[in-house]
Amino acid sequence: MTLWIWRNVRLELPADWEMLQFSRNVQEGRCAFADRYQFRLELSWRATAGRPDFARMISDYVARLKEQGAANARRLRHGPWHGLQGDLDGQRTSRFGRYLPAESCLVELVFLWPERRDVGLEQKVLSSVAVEPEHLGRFRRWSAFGMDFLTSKDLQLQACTVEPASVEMTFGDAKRGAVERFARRGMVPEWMNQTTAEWLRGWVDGGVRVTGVDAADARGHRVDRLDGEKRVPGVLRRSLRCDAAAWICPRDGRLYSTSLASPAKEADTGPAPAGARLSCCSGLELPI
Amino acid sequence: MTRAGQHLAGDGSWRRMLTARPVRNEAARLGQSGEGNVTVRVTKQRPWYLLPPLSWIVPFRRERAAALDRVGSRVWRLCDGERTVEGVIDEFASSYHLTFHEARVAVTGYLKELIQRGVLAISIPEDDTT
Repeated sequence: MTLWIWRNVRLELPADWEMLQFSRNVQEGRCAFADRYQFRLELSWRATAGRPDFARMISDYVARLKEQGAANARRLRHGPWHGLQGDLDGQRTSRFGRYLPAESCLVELVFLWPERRDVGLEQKVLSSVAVEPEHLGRFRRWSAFGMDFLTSKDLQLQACTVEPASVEMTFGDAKRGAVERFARRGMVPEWMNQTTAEWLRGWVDGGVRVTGVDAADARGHRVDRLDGEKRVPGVLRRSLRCDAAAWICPRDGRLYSTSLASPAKEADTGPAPAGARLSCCSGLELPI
Repeated sequence: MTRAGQHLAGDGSWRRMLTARPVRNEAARLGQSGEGNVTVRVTKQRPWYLLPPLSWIVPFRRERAAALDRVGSRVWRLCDGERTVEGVIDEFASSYHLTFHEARVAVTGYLKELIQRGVLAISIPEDDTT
């Protein structure tokens, strides 16, 4: 099973289920996971003021499914999860809902079963769903697309670009100017024609004035680091402090990189500088 | 409950695409560059409308060449007429340490390009579920 953490919701899924669709919206959104042949699971969330009336919701849903001609519609229950199953258009689905008070949101999981319903797997996945706690007093953890990382808790996911062998997630707070980027790139020998340190210099924001570079060995990983600062245009003459790191993980051969930019006045990386915010493997774990 | 799951219903499977078999254009001629990259040349048919005086202005090239980069050349070599799309993806994923879907997106992108250039065709198996 592989851990996924998205929007503070953690769940464990079979290792060959990959996220093919996602939403950045905190209030309402969905992620869809697929095995090699078809979609298998949808995770959706919706912020709500309070706990919904599940009994009524399920009744309404069962009635609607029957109206649509669904066969075998029946209620299900697993711990705090309220659910139902039904066969519609030859596709067996089971769906479960649960309210997460710590996040004030309703979470739903919809499983698609190409063959028979695997109750054991279903229960394993449902039992793994939980709210991911805050870490070190100021970080949120995300685990997706082969990256496991910590972002400052007040930043929002602004962009997520997923391409073959390349993923980059950007978190930010436009008001303060803070930006945190986390990236993972594969097929490195096919395109990398410079050193990791040179690549890192090109990857960080072009407007950054480099104030220091170094490299250190961290449990078999050679981590190149870069410090710098950037002037923010405007009359306030604000500046951002930048801290970035990049390395190639010897286990999977991928290039991992992270770049943190925060207002110089607030800058205090504390226990988690750039190189410690992103984990590639058990050799370079997060400080949590 | 919301209508969660509706997005996935119906179009949720690409199994049929994976069982298709990429087949090389038998008329294609292969060239190889120094770096081992492949150039595939196919002969084109002269369009019926390309007659003088139009052909005096619009030159007709008898051959179309597709120069493939290193990764494209690898995909081309994997398309041996025996492997299915799934087999090509598996080999590609294993060669470049990618996940199945990372490889799927990359491989299908290359296949699409090769098909558009006329150097590959796709053989889709007859639906045996009927």
